[in-house]
Amino acid sequence: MTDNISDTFEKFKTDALSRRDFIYKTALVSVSLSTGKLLSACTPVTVTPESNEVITELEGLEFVVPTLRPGEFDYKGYKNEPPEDKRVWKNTNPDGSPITETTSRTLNYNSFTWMCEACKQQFFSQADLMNHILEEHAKRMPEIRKIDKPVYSQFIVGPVPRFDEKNTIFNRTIWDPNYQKMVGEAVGRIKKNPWITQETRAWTAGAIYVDNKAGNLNEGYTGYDGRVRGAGGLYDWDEPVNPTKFEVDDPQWMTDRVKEVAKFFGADLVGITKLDRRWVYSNYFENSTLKEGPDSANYQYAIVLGIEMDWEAIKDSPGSIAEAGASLAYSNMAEVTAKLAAYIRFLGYPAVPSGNDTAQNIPLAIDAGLGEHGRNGLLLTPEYGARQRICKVFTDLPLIADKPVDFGALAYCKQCHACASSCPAKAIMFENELTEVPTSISNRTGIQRWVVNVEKCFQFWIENEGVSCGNCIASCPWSLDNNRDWLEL
Amino acid sequence: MLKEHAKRMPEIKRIEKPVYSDYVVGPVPRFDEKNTIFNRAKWDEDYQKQLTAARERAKKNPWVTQEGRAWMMGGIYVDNKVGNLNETYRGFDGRVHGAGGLYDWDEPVNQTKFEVDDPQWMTDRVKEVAKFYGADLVGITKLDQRWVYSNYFENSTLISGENDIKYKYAIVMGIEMDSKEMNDSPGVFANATTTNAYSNMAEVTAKLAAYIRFLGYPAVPSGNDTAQSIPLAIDAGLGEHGRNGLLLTPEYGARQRICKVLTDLPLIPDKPIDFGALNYCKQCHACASSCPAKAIMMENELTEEQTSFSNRTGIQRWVVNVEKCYLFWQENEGLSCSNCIASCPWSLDNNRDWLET
Repeated sequence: MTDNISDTFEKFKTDALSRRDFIYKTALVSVSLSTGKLLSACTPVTVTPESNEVITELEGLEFVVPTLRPGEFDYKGYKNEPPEDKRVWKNTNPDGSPITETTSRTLNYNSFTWMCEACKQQFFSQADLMNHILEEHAKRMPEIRKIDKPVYSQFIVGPVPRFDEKNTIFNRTIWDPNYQKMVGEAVGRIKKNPWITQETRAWTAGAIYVDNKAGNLNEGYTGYDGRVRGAGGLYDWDEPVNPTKFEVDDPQWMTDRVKEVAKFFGADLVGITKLDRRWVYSNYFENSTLKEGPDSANYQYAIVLGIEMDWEAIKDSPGSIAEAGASLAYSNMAEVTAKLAAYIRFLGYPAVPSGNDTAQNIPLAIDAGLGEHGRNGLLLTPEYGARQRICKVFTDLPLIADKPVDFGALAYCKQCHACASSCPAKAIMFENELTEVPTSISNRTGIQRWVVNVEKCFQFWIENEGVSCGNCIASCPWSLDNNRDWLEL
Repeated sequence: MLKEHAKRMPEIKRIEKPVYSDYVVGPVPRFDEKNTIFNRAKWDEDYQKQLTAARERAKKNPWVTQEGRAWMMGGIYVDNKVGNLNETYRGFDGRVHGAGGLYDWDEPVNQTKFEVDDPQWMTDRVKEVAKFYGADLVGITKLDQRWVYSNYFENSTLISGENDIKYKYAIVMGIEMDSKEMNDSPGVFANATTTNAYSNMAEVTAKLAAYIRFLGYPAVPSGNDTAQSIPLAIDAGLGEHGRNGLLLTPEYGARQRICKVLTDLPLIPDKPIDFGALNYCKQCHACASSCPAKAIMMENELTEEQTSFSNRTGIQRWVVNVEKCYLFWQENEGLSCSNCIASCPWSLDNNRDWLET
């Protein structure tokens, strides 16, 4: 650093450097030097009893580091010793019995530790804390490009008819006798999973509780879905809209505000898209009431929210703590969408919360710029990989839609088979080229993409004692909660 | 990074008896929930008159907009809508007997009992799972009947009756309120983070109680109802009592809300803590100076004198004039005020330089 100063000065004298560049470079060096001074002033210094101050010399620069001795501190008006304890000591307990132990209590701020705000761990030095933050809470991010059309739009090879909610794999277990037979066969193959115990299942029972109990108030509803018509609860579409309308002069301000408030209510990712009717189910199907009918979601925008699933939980897959990670996110979906929709309705605009119902979340999230489609058939985001759940709020509030993103997931997935290799059901493609061939009526048609055999997938859940599997989430390198060394290699 | 996400923590001593136990100077009768200030607004005619007069004094606050209030409406939505399913329930309280919802005490307990061989393991596990569900602080205490309300009073149904709570333990949880929003006090965004924490209280306690019931042990969620949260939290080792009358924790100062799950699951209670808050509060008057209602003591000695029958008796402590406090809320366009939370040096979300210098 000091070499740089003399070098720079030499260059300046010999006219190899313009005056402007000289000032620029020296300013940079001095900024970093004083930052060093600032930072070093905070670190504890070991002092020998003889000297009160440590002088550090740095070629021409001299500065004094304030020192602290054990027990020596100064806080607001008192020095060296804590204020006198004027407490009245009682000799007996309220019931008349003598007090046996007394603790001397003095101020103890001469001793403190450092706490990481994110995980509450404590460290004895700032340096340890910094190392911890870099290891645990810092993450390499890929370059993200905003693009005008989502990546999938290049791969549309035919008409893209709307999808009937009845044909999703969860709903087919309710009405499709052929698939019910396959599920029945899977029941015969159930193997004991040693990671599934009553205690780990209790994690799930607690995690899904809010969605199950209050997501909607239909008797047959057990969570994991969303709206049931007329059933009230958090996914309620019949709430009144405030008749006093808040005038939105600046849709950009409103958009930023909506994103801020969504994060305040607990969303981890937020994006906004115009509602593309292709992704709205042509017919709805409520698996708790078995009712079906044509869709009625006539809203302009979808605010798409991502809820992170806890990495420590997800890596337990296919055990039931991973399922708890997913279940907790389901409860959070209901909580966050209900709050955001209430916020917008109070502004005087229609808004309704939606979980897995009404429209397909992954294409909406891609349109809203949250991420791309991955080999495992899930949304991959630069932040959490496949490790989030998606929910949305439909609204007519004037907003500005986000652009889709490209962070290179398609090329990455073409040469990574982590999810496919770890899939116990062999439901994920090993081929390196996209395909539009459906594996069953539960896949859509008309788009070349990574196709997942959801029939096999759900059969494995049955074999796994009925506990859901998240191997394709846990194994995805983008989902890892470390600092992603591999992005640099 | 160091400015925003690193925080100096004071030395924390685990002690056998909570600090307040040295200041118990007389009998400590149980408190009637009817006498809390929010409930007095429902039935105490003298106080209702004062409230009406205060509402007439209210001045328009130019910072309170419809958009700001929308943050509150969203924040409280979960508690309001499904905290319990009583028609008149508006959130901010908790259980209503027989009304279902998240604060439901009538849920069945799993018939299959999970054998707890090692209560220490169970305790660690309960703390882990509570944090997983969203609690920021967790402590466990034996349920001291002194802190359970002698009678309950439901301010949405106006029903009251005797409280007979037989649970052995209280799992006390702290939910952090956002610092950025809290700094807006007494404006609308401080309200928003408060209301959001109220919704979180319902969500987290309901989930944790469901977890324990699935293990085959009784467990019920509780917000502000049933028992006083601050003394329970002190017993559970979350923090100490501060000049502002609130719980001060080493992590967030006064900037959290408290809720609890009552249960019979075999657990090991935590010890109370001492991080020097008492001595600190004796020479710091930040909350008292910033209180617009002058409801917080300026004196440096604890007192057991009541300011009204909304204070308990028998313990020397920092006493807050809750009547004045709540009157100010009315003057403030009905918005709650959190100046005593926002001004507390322990609540600050920076790295707390003052702990070192």
